[in-house]
Amino acid sequence: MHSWGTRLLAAATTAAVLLVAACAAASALDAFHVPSVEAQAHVTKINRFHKQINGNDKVTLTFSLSANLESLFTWNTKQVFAFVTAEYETAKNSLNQVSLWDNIIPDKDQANVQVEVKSKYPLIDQGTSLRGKKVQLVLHWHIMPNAGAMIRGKMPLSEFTLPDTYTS
Amino acid sequence: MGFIGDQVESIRSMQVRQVLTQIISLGMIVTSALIIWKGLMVATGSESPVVVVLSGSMEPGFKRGDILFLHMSQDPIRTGEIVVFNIDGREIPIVHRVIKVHERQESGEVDILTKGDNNFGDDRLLYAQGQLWLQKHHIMGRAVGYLPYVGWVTIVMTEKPIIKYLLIGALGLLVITSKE
Amino acid sequence: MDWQGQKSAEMLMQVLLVASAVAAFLVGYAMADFQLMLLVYAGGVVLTALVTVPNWPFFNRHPLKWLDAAEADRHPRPQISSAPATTGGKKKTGKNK
Repeated sequence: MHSWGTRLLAAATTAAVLLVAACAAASALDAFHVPSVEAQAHVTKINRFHKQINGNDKVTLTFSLSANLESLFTWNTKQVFAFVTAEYETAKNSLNQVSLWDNIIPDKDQANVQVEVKSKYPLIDQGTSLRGKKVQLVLHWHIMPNAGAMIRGKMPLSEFTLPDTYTS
Repeated sequence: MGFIGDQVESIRSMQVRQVLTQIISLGMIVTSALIIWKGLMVATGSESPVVVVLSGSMEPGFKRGDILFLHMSQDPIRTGEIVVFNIDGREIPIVHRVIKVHERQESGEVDILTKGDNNFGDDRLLYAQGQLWLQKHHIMGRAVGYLPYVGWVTIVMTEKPIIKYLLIGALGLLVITSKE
Repeated sequence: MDWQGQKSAEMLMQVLLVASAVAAFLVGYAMADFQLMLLVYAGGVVLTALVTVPNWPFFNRHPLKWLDAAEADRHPRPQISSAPATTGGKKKTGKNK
């Protein structure tokens, strides 16, 4: 503390440590935040269902989604990445998760999502087991903070059954 | 006399024993940094517990210069997670989000497809020729924590090595001349 | 900066920084605004640096009272002679060669 240089260094070091501590505290508070998400989704139409040349089943479908994700936002939230997956079990795989739609929500004002999703990403299986398959739609979210730990969550939505035959 | 003058003066008045003490304290700083890094490796189970984001493919979530803390647990990988993976024949690891998971019935092996949030298409173009899926051995860790901007230090230092040497020199000088 | 000044500067630096960090966190949490927290904290850090880094006269109110040069002449420091005879039977003699 005898010269201004050492004092400046000491101040800068202490300030940086405290800044990290403040960010950690903000992130720790997020862990106690209990969100209440409300969401519904329904498949409205199977647009196309066929077998690709490489032998995999491919479905393009339309579904309506209404989700209120406002409660996910806290003061330490930079953005929420929300997406809907189709999840199902086949003889080959114990779990298949395929993203059908995703969206980056940068702000709480845009967290009330009402969309008609017309096949943003197709549902492609590993193999040919989609005919007559029961598929679960699941809403996932991934909260990305200004600083600190990232939080994931999910919520099962509706189920639907694919037709027994290809459409083309 | 200013700050620099003080430092010069303190170098001039040093003795052998003092020089040796300072060298040891310099060594302590280097080794303790190493210990912290290796300790983190053990705690997180990932060979590089902290990575710096180098590209804008995950914007606006992660920008160039942000740092991510990785963790490598035994939990199965699921969609939505942000993983760091290494492609055979590529040196720089990539940080992207998992969008598809197919987990085998008996062996529990997984096929994973990734995509950058800011990219239009999935990552098959980035993978090795003919590679369709990532397997577990490609994954270096999953991102669990985030701090903005801190990684700029390393980006600047790798791109402008002069700054690195200046910084190391200045720090070394400071350690050697400090009297504790 | 004198000894008392250095001590109070360090003390003041830590108290001010912790106080501004706590204040910034509370303000940020109350207003639910992360950026506001960073701004308040940055303000606190600049203020701390302004108060504790420069050598203000405030830190120089306890100068050391050195002995007068004349006073020192009147009480000379005891001289250590290197001659073995005057140091008596102490074992230091071996080292004085």
